[in-house]
Amino acid sequence: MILEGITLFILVCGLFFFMVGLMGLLRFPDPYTRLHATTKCDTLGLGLILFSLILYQGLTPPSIKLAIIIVFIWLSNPTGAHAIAKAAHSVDIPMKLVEYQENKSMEEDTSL
Amino acid sequence: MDAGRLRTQIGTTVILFAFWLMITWSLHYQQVIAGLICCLIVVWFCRDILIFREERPAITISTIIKVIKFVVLHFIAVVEANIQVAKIVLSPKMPISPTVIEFKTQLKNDLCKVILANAITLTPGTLTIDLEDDVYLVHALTKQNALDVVDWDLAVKLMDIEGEE
Repeated sequence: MILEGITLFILVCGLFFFMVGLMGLLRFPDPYTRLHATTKCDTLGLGLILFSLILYQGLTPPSIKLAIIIVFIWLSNPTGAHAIAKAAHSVDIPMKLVEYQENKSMEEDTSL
Repeated sequence: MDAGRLRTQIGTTVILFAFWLMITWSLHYQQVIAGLICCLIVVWFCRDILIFREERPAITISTIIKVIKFVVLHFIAVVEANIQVAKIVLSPKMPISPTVIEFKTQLKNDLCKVILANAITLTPGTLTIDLEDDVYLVHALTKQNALDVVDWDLAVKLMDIEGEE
């Protein structure tokens, strides 16, 4: 009973991080910042969801496979993010840098 | 073929075989023989592109302990940074100041450089765009992140691992 509660709590935490990643994808201005939101929040989100499944399973062969999946996700995720970022950089997709933010906050100030 | 390369190849076979046993989870003789043959074929196929001695730090007990410490510290850093990014995403004003920063590393080892690049990318808020020789090009979500990544304490830990010659 207690274990199920903990499992559910961790599962909801994982879903929360997935939601944050998705919101970041919709809100951020350019591909690089979007990568920050999606790839990173997904690592912890997926990690927590799979971890909750491991807790639910107990120590069985499937749970070991789930643990291996976590390890491989954590290894391959940064590589994929780096590949996307490098591709975007090499075709000169413009970055919205600090100046943009300052202009934006000034605009916000004037609009307020 | 010298002894160092042979040792790396045998070590890789053992690791692959352990992985095979973990995912099949049975000790039936057919499974074991099939796995062993597959591992040998894979290692023979990749015999020139394995991670040999000159590209990685030596594997000793103290190195393994340091690597485990590094992984645990990095995991904590990832969780902290994840919460920080979640706060940024969820705050209505979205206080981001994207910065690109270039910095040089003192790491010599290829494998350590790749580990540092992946560690930077895995930590939310920083993203390695490029790694040329020993110059990292890092994109950071906020200016503070960019300043933090230049003298990151985990990079010092990684240098400690590398220094075990």
